[in-house]
Amino acid sequence: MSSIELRNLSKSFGDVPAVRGIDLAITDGEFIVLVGPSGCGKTTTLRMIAGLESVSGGAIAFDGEEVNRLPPKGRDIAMVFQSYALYPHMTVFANMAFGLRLSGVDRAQIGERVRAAAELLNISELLRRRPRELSGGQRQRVAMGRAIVRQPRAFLFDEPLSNLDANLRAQMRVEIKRLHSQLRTTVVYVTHDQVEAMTLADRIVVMRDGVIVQSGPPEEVYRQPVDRFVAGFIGAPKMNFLPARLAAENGALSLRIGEGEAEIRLPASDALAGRLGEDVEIGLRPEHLSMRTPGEDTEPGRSFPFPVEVVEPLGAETLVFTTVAGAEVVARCDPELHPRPGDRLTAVVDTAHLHLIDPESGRVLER
Amino acid sequence: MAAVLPDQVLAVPVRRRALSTQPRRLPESTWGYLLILPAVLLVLGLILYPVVYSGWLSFHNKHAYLPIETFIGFSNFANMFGDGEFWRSIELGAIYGIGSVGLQIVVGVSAALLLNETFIGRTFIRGVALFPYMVPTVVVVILMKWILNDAYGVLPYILKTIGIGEDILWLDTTHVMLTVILISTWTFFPFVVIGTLARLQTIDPELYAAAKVDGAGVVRRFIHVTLPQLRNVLFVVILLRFMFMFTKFDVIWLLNGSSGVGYYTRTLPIYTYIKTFGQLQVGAGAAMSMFMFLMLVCFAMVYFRVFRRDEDI
Repeated sequence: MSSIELRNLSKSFGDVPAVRGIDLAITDGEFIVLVGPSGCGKTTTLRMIAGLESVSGGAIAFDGEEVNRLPPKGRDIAMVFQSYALYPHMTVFANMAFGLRLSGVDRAQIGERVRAAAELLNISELLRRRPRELSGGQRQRVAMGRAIVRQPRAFLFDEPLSNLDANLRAQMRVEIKRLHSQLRTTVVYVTHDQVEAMTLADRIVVMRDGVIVQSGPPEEVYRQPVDRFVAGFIGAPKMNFLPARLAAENGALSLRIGEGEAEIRLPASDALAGRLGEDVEIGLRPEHLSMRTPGEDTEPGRSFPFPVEVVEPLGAETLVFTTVAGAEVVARCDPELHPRPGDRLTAVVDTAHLHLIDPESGRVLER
Repeated sequence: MAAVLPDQVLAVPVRRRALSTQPRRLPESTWGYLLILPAVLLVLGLILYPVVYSGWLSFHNKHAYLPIETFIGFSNFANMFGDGEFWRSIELGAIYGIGSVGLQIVVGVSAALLLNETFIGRTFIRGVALFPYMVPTVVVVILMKWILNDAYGVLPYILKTIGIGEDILWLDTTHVMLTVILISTWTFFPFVVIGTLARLQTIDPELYAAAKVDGAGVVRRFIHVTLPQLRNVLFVVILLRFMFMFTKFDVIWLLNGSSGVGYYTRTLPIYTYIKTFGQLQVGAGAAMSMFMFLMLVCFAMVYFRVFRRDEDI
């Protein structure tokens, strides 16, 4: 177990920068998820921590000790790969034992540790099989077993679930979380799937174009995104973005959506006083719009018409889609409402959770 | 007139369609057989007939030119097994086959490993590496004869200049087998490179990363990742190369012909040729080629039995 620190870490491939000076302190036993779109530098960062990629600038330290020049085997880390990377000619047992064998652990202990890990992962009956005789989920477990037996300072996961089907992925997520709560080993986990990031992480680190955009507990990143990118990336279905203009009205703030299609009032705010008359973008999560049928009470200044265009029933909830001021808007809705395309509903906005975004910089504005 | 025209116009396409469907009445399977018939005839005429004819010849005493033959049963085979030169030719063939295939594998796999690395000019070097395989054998051998000549060859000159191996006479009786093996290795190793390189490029790089994280150095990564992945391709390459080399005629014959030195490289195919066309004992030659054929079939069967335990990877 170990703390990991990245100091101004950067990496370029030729002239192409992949990681541009990131700082991150991972505490002992923490579950960190690096998340971002492809090409954001998350995998490169992970491979640098593993020692599989050289460092172009900055430093990586384990427990305060710089490891920049240490090869992977000197770093005492274990890694789970996207393709699982099991040795195809070896049995499951040999796969899990390989690292221990190379580091000179004696046979009896190898057997003990492999069996213990296999039991933990429920793969004891697979130990004599070859990887090709296993299903995707079983291979995934073996890959994790190979990491666990090493009893490393840290686990590094590189998109370990992306080759599994949706059901299995959900199941393995729970399993990984349970393993972490049992083993309490530091984990750095890379994924492009924001659901994995939200469900697994103690702390999410959102990356884009080689820099860290935001890092924090999942709740915080979800509720208080720092910019439009994070707001749009975290959460499914995605946050809605609506163009609006900020104005003052009777001592309160008013947001005029599009060409006056709707108006939303907010309490006055000193922080926004300087932006009156300017264009802003409204960010609203689908759960912060509640649907009202015609005839129900709607509060003026907090709602806009919502002519339903598409309906996606998901069982526990139903998603309804419409277009407001040229932007697609999605809302979560009570399935008991039985919305149908063509229904003229009204969306009531939960203004406490409404984000205002600077359309130029993309930053979320203080309110 | 104007009323007749549309009928005529209509009639034409109808009749044409009827005509065009007629050949399709043949069942599809018959078409299939008809289409592969030329290939079948070629195989029968060019492969099966010579083999069967050779088998027939091996039981006859046949004059090389005249249409005279006498059935003599297994006498050709009895004579062959009693012939010391025959056994010697098998021994030389085995030395040549194993020696040159072994070297081709070592050189070919090493070259493939190098060419799989990233470096400037890799594509060009990859092309150049295949060059020896493209050069006609006769050109290779003539060049080699010049290069190795003990009087004016460039290799003995270079060796003499740097002061090693200056006394080696590459084409004399003691070294000629080694020389043939080296020339064959140079000519045919690209075959190994092609097969190996193609396989190397499909190995998942994450396997190497996993092995690095597991603590495997370069040698162990080669033993535990690369070699197992190459296993199947090497299995096929070794099998094919050994068969090709054991039956190899051109390199050896072009280098030594029926000269005195040639006696030291008289492998089974060479001896068979000499028997058949030199000594004009066609039946005896046919018996030897039948033996070579059956021997390689047995070799392949044993080889499969021993090395092809599992179909994995």
